Amino acid sequence: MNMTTARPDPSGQAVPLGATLQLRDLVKRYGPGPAAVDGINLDVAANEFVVLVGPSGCGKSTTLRLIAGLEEVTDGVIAIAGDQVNHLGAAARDVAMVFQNYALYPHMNVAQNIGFGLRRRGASRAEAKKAVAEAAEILELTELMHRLPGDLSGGQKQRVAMGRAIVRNPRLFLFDEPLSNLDARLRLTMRTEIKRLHARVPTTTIYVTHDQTEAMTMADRVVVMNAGKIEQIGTPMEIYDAPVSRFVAGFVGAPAMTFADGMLDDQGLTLNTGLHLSCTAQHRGPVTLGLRPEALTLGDSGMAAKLDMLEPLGAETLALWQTEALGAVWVRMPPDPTLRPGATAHLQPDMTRAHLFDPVTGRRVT
Amino acid sequence: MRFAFAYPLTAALALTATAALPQDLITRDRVGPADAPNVMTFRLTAFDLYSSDDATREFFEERFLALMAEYPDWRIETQLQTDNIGQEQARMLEQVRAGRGPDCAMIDSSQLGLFKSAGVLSPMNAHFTQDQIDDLFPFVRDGVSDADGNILAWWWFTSLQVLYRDTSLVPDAPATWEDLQAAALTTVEAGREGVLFNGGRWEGTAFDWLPNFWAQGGELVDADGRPVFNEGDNRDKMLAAINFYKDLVDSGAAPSRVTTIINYDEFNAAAAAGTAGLFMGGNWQYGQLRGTLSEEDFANWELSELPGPSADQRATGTGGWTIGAFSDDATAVEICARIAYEIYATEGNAYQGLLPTSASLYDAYDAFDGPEYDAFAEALVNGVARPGVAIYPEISNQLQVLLGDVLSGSATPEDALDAAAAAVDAAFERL
Amino acid sequence: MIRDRRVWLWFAPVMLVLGGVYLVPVADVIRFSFSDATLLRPVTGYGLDGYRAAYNDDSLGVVLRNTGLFTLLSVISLQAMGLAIALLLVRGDRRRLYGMGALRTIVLAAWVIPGIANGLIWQMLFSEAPFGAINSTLRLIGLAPVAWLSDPGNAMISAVIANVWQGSAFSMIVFYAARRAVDPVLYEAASVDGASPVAQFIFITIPQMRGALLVNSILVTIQTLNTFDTILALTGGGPGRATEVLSLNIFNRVFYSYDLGGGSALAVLLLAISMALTVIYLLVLMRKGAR
Repeated sequence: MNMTTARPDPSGQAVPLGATLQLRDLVKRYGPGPAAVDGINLDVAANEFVVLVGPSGCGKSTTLRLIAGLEEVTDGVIAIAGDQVNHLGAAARDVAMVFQNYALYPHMNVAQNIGFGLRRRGASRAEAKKAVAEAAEILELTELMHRLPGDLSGGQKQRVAMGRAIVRNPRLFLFDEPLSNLDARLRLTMRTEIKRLHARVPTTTIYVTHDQTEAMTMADRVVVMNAGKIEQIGTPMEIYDAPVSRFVAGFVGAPAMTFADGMLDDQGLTLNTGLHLSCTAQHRGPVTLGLRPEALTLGDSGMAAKLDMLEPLGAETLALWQTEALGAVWVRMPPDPTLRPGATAHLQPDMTRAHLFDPVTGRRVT
Repeated sequence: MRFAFAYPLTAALALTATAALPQDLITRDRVGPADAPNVMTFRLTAFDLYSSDDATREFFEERFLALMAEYPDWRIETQLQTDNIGQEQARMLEQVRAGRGPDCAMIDSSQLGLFKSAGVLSPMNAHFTQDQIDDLFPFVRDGVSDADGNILAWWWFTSLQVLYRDTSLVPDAPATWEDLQAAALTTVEAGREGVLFNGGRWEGTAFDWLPNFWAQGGELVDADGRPVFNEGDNRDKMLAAINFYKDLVDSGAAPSRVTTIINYDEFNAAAAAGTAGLFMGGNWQYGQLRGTLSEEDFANWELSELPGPSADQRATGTGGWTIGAFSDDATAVEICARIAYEIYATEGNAYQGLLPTSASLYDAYDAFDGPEYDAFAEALVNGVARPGVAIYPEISNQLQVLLGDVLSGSATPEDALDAAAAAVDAAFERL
Repeated sequence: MIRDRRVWLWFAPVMLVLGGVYLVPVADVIRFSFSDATLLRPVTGYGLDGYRAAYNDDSLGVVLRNTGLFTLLSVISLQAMGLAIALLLVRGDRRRLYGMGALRTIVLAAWVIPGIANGLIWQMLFSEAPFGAINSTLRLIGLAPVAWLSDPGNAMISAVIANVWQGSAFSMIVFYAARRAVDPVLYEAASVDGASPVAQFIFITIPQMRGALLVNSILVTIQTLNTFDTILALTGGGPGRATEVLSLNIFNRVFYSYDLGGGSALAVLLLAISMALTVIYLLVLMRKGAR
């Protein structure tokens, strides 16, 4: 994508256009039963890129829709730029949203789709035309201005949806799983484009996805949600390196973390399968051990393991090993053309990179 | 009710009613033994032999069985006609012409002329005495006879239009148009609606208004059945009759809503609501009023002959039904004539309270003892039947338009009359 | 292309039914229109007399004017009412209001009433007798009674009201289905884009329902052009000819004048008008955004 075009900004310098966002004890209840959003608190700084991630049904999309004004708040406060907006409808909040299915107006061409919001907010035909042309140029849509959405490819639709959002310079930029309908390659491209667009046009952005890779790669800060509540807020590396719960640890990272239950005492950690590992943690009692693929290395000692499967990724290889002590575990390894499934070896856990969780509460222990 | 404009719902109910028949000599489509070697067909309406009223049905079943007992070799196949009279009768004429018609049938008196001029009716002279024929009301005798004096059908009951009035406001029967207007204005002063009559788009409007034309000696069609109502004297008589109605509305003696009235029930409703003072309706409404009004209110209502331009120029529209034979079989014609006279024209009328077509029959049955029947019999002397020609329905249609246009102020009587005559002539060309 | 000839076996029933139910009667009407047939006698010759007589009739101008007015007012009102009720229902459904099912049923109930019965019902309501339903109510609240049916101008409006009351349900069903088929996310996108409810109606609802509007316009117009039973029972076409529409005129010509030939000639005119209007609707509504 050609990003050399100057962004439409009269002052010519990067002014923070985005607003801050505060969520206070936000609750959304659709009926009896557990709340869809169960009292969440979040502060988003101006122009920050925050990703809400979690499994389906965790409340992340509902949270986004509450922020957009598409759902009514049951309890709590939403404030944009310090002002409570609970009572404002979507039209009055001055936010832009990119929907999962793009939600382009099928009967309007690309230019009309992008300009619709401007026109509805009182921009003159000429103003709108100019702004649309600029946005279209940023998104390389200029050639497609007179096409109808039905004639566009998925990626093009995605760009139109984004054009519709950026053209207005909204206070908040909301994305609701915008890449989930694209194929893998396009998803990767668009991920980059969105990031670059944010760098180019800094706006406070709330991005919802169920894909932890997207969350990790795009976010300034990641908000991991589960069952209507926030599990953890942090930078991608904080989330990855110091998950506060077994849920976060399991959700983030690919291949997923391997878990094994055991007992921690003065002698160290003894897994239920009998394997003993030295451990310096202060905690005593039953724990769940979590090991990421990079926390295991091949060696001469350690757990006996048999190679089950190889996933060569080029620069590195993921190997699935079968062990007595931990069951099936993924290990990140340098490419090794001699390894074949069926090979045997020993796996040595790096306990300095191990994570420990309370087996009952799922909280991290040290 | 079995009048020219039979009430549709009644007929529909009658048709759908399931009859519990006493024995297999009468079924839904047969009278007489199923294996009788001779068959005649009889097309009838659903108000007597197949009435939804059990007592009425049983009465007619008994009479039919008694008659057919004299003809053990015969059975009657019955065919019901629907209440869509115009269509049914037109279809029947077509069937008779094609040789597929019934042997004997009920024919609406207003349609009889069509059948007469088609030459499809078998004379019944042999089955009636000269006394019986002479005793018929003049319009009835004319209606059923051909030029040679043959009796082509038996007109077994009639109906007529009369003027109803609330005697508490109008003690004396208005005899002239002028009287009527004055009387109507009296009722308006008393807070009533004046005189009500049919003025909307339906047959009743033309039917109730035509006596005003006929009373002056006006004729709708000439001897050949050609429309002549806008020619010569007839035009003046038309205009006089139109202006009579127009004056009633213009003077306030009749409400402008008469142009919306397309149902005789409106008059019963107005009488029941106590808003009517006078109305022009059918003879059968007397019985309906008796059933609708309290005894006290009903006592106030009386009927009289329709008023005319002068007290001695009077006419009333008549309706009713005839029975005629299309068969060539002498016995079938005889049975048909006997059904007409012995079952329907005499005892049947007395049972159903329908008006007989000869004066002497009013004396023959106790059922006709009421004072209203004297008035009916008296008025029927001036009875006029609608011309039995194919153009009549269109004449009626155009008269309805004419009266509506004039009474609503959309056209002058002269223009409306010319338009109606032109339209009728054009339609006549096409027949 | 399907080459198997047996395919006609599958089409045969449909073609027979369509042909029997639609084409044969239409062909028969066209044949009659060129004949001298009356209800009383079969065809004895063919020619253009039927057309000449029917189209030279002085009343035809008034009748066509009535037809145009009745159809125009009815179609506009039917669509507006149908749309309004449909949107009301959708809104009610969305808010889970009680009584939406009842409302739907009431509107539908009007639809299943036969035209004749509908005419009779409205005749009672519009009755100008001192005890007439609507006028009594007007008097009760201190308003002057209205000459609903006796005034030639009002009579047409009254006929339209009766027709609309009965016919709105049909439009409502069509629009209700069409409105429910509009992706709700479009409204969310529009409201995020700052569109007011009115703007959403104009820019989302109407364009998204264009197909339904087109189909409904055609169906409702043809339905209205063919309506005569309601008017027959309500006014009979009166006062005078104030509410006599073409279909009623044809009915009268055939069943009063027995003029099957002339009546068929007018029926052909009615058919031509219906088809012409259909083509116009197609052109107008399909022109924009036709894909």
